[in-house]
Amino acid sequence: MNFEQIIDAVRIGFNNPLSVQEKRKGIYQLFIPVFHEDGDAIDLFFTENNGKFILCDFGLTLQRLSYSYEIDTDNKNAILHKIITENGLTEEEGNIWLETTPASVFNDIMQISHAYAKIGSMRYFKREVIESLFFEMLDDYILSDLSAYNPQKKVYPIPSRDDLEVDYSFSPNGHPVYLFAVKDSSKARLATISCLEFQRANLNFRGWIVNEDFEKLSKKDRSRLTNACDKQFTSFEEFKSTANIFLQREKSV
Amino acid sequence: MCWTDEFIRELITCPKMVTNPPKETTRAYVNAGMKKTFGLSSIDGHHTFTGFIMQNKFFAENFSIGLIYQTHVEKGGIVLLRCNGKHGGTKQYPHHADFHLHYATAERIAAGQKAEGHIEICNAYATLEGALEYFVDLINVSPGSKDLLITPRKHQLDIFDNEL
Repeated sequence: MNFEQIIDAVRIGFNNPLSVQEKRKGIYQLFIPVFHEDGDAIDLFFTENNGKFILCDFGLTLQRLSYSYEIDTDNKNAILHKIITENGLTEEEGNIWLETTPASVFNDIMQISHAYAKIGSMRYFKREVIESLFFEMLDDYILSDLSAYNPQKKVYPIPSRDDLEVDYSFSPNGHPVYLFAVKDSSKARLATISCLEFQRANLNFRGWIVNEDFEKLSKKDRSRLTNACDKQFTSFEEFKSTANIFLQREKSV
Repeated sequence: MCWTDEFIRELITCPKMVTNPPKETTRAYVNAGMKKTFGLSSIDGHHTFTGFIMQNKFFAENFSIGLIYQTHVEKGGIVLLRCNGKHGGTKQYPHHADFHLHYATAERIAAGQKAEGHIEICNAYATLEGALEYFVDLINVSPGSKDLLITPRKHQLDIFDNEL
């Protein structure tokens, strides 16, 4: 295919503040003055597919997002594909692309670079939304679905130790089940210490852990926590599926 | 948390060991390339880090190796350093693709900007393997841990071995 016609159309549209360089045979990289927050230019290429020009990124937008944000749940994947679809783009093996023509290329570059920026902004959800949801969702679930086990919040099993706080206490039978909600290593270590101190004080209890994401903890934190507690749920989803079953088993003891 | 450029430099260069060796991730990105993540901590145990190694499957020169500091005080981690391949232009060099480094700065963190926005061209490497060796030396990984991150060189004579 003759790429000169489409490259000339881009130069005219941008009035020349750009550069185009051949990256590989049949693949041209556009250097346009549109930048990410870290100062890197957006990754944008021309190539052809089945005789048509396409604008694409060869997976580099998702690569950049992946520095600090993982598309690791069905919900995040759905949001990603909603952004892609609603912006008229297509994703294939990580490559996000849009068909274009010399007549529409300037507008298509505006559209696709805007969409790449929206995809990149998914990382903002990481801290502000995803992390805060864990405790809220856990609280909602416990107070609604596990109310039969008389949940109590912020319990101090050893009255003289106000540094050893339990997130939730359940009473399925004669002895309490103490539940710690763990989302990072500092909470993992606190839960470990608490369980060990309660054992040292000869309290009759069960120490349970619900992890936001068990795999996020370091190997040593996982090991210490597993050795100190009685039961772990590796994720909130797992807790929702089986907590009632395990509390019923405690009830029948 | 009080950030200064000296503190950032100290975090980057303090002696470290690998706590979790690189493992390949199976996330969405893997469709377009390779991503491995690994864990590090400072030898004195005061600081925790994670790292990543990524390479695009279409363009081998498009790679990134990063060091993320886990603050444990504020939410999320801070990307302190990235060793990048020739992915394309930057604000300083908009029409060139060069191997370059991204550094976090205190000014950018204080301004609420993406931390690792200070860019420097780097001529110390030209491949992912070379960048990984450069990265491991730059962040001061202990000799006992280096082999967990980089493939040891095959036994081969160095032409300058006997040089006085």
